[in-house]
Amino acid sequence: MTFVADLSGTDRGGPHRVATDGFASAPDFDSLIGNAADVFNELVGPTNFCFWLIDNCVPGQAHPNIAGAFDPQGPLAAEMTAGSGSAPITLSTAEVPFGAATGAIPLTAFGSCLGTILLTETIQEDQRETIAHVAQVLAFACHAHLASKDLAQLSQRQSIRADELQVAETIQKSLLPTDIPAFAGWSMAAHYEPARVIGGDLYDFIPLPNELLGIVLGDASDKGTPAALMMATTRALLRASAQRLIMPARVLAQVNDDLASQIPPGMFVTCFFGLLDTATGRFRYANAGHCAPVINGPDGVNLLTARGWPLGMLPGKSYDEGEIVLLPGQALVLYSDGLTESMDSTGTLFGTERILETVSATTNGVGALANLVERRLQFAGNATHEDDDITIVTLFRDPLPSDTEDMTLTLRQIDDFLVPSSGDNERAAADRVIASISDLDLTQTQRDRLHTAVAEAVMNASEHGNHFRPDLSVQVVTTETADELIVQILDAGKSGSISQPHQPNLEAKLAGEQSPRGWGLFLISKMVDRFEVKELPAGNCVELGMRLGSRSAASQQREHEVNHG
Amino acid sequence: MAEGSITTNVRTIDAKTSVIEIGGSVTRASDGALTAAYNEANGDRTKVIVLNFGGLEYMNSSGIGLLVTLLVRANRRNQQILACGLTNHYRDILSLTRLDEAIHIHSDEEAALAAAATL
Repeated sequence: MTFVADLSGTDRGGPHRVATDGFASAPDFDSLIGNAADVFNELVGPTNFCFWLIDNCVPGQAHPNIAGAFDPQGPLAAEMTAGSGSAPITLSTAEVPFGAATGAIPLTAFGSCLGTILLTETIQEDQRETIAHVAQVLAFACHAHLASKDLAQLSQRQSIRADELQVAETIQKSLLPTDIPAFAGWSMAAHYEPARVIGGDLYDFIPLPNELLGIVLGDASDKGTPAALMMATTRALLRASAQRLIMPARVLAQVNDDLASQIPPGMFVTCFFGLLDTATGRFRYANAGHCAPVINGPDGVNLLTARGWPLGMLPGKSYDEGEIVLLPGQALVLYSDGLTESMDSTGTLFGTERILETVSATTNGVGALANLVERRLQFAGNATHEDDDITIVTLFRDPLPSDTEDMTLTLRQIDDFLVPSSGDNERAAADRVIASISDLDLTQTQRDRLHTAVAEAVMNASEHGNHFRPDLSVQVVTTETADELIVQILDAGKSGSISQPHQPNLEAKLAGEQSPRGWGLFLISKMVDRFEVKELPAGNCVELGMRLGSRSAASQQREHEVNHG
Repeated sequence: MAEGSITTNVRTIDAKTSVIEIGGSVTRASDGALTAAYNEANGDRTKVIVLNFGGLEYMNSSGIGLLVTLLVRANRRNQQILACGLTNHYRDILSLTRLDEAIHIHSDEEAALAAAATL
């Protein structure tokens, strides 16, 4: 912005005092220019000069009496600044294209050229010192007013910035779930601690069909409004893809492709996406560069790792997908880097180790969250966290009744594991089940039969339920009640696809009229004391029951027949 | 022998009798080996094939399906299939599946060969 004042006046004399008093008392910049005009009217006469003040070095327009334009980067400005004084400069039309201007008085303060006073009359030698002094005082007065104006503009910008941050905060808060999902047998909790600058964290629970639940924890690489807007976009894309694609690796790959085409350069989103089957505890997950969640499992506390690029960096990326089973009593803790990078007053990071320690010492998921929050607060002390959001989400599978203080119920989960859907690992699965029940009151015959039943059920689940899909697993859950051993074999196939077992027609098979295969279900049903098929929201469950303590009459009869007949 | 694989050994007892020793696992992956063993055991005048399961560790329903296939082939040649060396568990399974009606089961090879001599 340039301020041009046409100076006019008739009287001369006493400029020094007038200048000092007038400049110092000017309440604003316009008044200052008015005062300066009065002074120079007195000094050099009207219509002989003009002020050309440059605000923030933006070139100004020429006064009507002076041709050309003042270039703040040009040689005249450089000469004025280099001089660091206010001595008038004699202009040559060959050097400076200022038309009628023949001299210039620099307006410099603190080494910066604020502008100039251009003259169309030659300054008398006896006036040079006075004019230089007045120009110097005027320059400092201009500097003070410009600084004041900058301050006002900065304040205004900060006000606008504050408004933007408010909008960003509103956007971000609107993205966060208002309710924590409630599923029988599960305790879930979330903690969100916003940073002063809006860190861009996002967590979400996405209800999906068949009692599945998508769980998201993400973090945009930017801060403030861009981060909030990016998280809004990411959340919408995740929700849409999760409903359609379900499987975590596919969901993240799709969202990555979608984001890559619209995310600003240099920006990305880290994101963990998990798919929890609330009926069975199966948890499939993929990770786009986000902090690895912590699971408190039977083997201690571990990080749940899976490789994958952050979302939006490069299209066409694929993501590793893992699967675990959350057993009763186990907790899974998701968190953002705002937690690991939280610092104490000495600058030490909270880190992953403290998270592992805290989760390890916790007996339930909600407690893990509370303990983590409390420990971080103790760790940080008076240190404020301003740079990044802190988000923690915990999933906790409630203990079975036998794990609680109510010992009147005797239900004990013995094992729970996953088997890849292939055609040759049913035997290993059955071996594992048999090994896990070595302390139970079962005869060798019962164990052999259970082995066959489990193997057949796992084979059926792999082939007919999961169709040998490598991305689907068979879950085997072994539980003991007061009088029964229960083995559940779960697949992810179409519900209701398992028919009731029937005695195969051997004659038709031997005659070549039927397939020689098709013995599995029949065998299973004959191997155990109880055989039941349950339809799950997202699959099937074959439940095998073997009586404990006293052998079933059917088993005893069969043993007798085999051994004696 | 890797877990999950079948082992077979064919012995010709006489012109009409052969023994196939079966060990390891009998599963769907055993089809080729079992078929090859049967073909090897199957001479021009073979009337009885004894399946000696003494080394059997594991057999699933697919393996049972292979036995049915073997029976179908044998029936077409008017051959008799005998079995021996089965554990109680697999005798139980052959009984439940009624395969013991088509495959006569004996406690050991000696008993099976004695029975074969009468056929």
